[in-house]
Amino acid sequence: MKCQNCKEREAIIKYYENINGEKKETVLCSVCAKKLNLIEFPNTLSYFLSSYPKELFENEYTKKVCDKCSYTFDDYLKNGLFGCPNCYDAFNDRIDALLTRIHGKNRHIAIENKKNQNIIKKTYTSVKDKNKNMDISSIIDINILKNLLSLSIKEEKYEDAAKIRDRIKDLE
Amino acid sequence: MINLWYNEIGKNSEYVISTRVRLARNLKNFNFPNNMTKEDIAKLTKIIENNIDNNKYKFLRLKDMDKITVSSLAQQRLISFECAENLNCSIITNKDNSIVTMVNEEDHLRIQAFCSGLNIDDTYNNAKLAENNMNLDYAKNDKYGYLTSCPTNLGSSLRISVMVHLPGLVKLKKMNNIVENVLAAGILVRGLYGENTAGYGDMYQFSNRSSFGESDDSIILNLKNVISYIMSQESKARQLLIKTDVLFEDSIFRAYGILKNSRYITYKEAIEYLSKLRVGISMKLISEIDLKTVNRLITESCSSVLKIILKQDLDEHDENIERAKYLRKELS
Repeated sequence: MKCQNCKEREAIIKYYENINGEKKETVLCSVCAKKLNLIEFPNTLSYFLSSYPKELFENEYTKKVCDKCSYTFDDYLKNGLFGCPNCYDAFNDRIDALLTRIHGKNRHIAIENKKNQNIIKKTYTSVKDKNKNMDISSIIDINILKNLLSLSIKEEKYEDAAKIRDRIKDLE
Repeated sequence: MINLWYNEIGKNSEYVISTRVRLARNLKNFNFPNNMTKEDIAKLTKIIENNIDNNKYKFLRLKDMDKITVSSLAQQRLISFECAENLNCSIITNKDNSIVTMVNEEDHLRIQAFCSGLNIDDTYNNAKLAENNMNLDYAKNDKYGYLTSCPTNLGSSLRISVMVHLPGLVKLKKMNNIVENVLAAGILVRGLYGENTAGYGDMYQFSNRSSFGESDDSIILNLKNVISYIMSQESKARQLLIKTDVLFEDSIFRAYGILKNSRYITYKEAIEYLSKLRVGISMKLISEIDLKTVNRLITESCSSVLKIILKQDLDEHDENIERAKYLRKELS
């Protein structure tokens, strides 16, 4: 297919525009796409990142089937989506390579987000235990206090809010 | 369903229009939506529906909703256009639509929290709270984090998007430069309507590209740094333009004039001029209108939202007439 802009070079990029529900599809060559400032936009980018030439995988392998959802690796190569959570086990021997290509690494280091989890926990309990008096004197993290403050204002617990505000002032 | 949080004014509203935090989650023991049978979709939808707290959230099946309402949700960017077109999808919303969860889009759950202006921390917390409120067993493993249908979303499946208004940088033709720079920091830039739309009304969405192998804290910090860099650049650009280019100031006042006087205006034009008016107000060149009003009018100019406000279905021609009339009235 020829590029719709220069009508000379071979088109390699499909450019979709979806403005307010109105869809337009244009095919462009890389030179025109760059000229039209389109190349940086994410679909073109994720297209490069998540499309894999079939040749990278042995023909045999593309026929491999996920035992749980009957999805084949070829199905994945066609539409870029897996069939079920178990696919990540079923195609395990190729997924690491795949992820290295997409993310530049193949392990999600589950760094537990301690600080943020605390905040969530605290705001969570404060919603639940509405009648209990809050012991804020033991909290030293200003971020947690600020979260509690906005929460108690939202809940119209102004007495609590005043206490928390004073505590923040003390710490600051 | 008009979103209410949009009518508030948040932090850094001169530059930042809105913040969105999205978490993708899938339930164990179900195929991903692209590979599900009708029966499974019905079963999963029921499980999720039964699991929500009805005092806080509303569960709505798109197939039970009228078309204009559904498309207005997409035009307000509360749900994706893919979701709006898929009758298998449902949504879960809270009272002010600051939490909108898409059910059965690309993943079983796409939990989204929104706020006006720049406020990544609170929006992140709200999304996490919404996730905790749904007490479901998510597919997850140690190696890859949360399992999602597309491998690009693996990891903590966190995407934070900040919509920024950058007329100064656009005018100085600095956007290419910015896009290249932030891409190196793992940040993607898109236009107003997500995937592949150039910056409509000079509005661009900045979001983290990946959440794989990174902690939520580092993703948040990185995006905060990028946004504050962008805001400082935009601020400089605006100051420079106002001092050196009378045409910049002229374009703002002209836009104001057109919005107050036009008799026929398309959505695209309306957004272009409201965008100009927005800079004028941010830079205190225009004081009789506030940012809140312009933000509201940007939303209300969308075809479906306009139809809901006017309570009538309009063809394109009449819609443009009514839009002009509505904007004149609101700006007078």
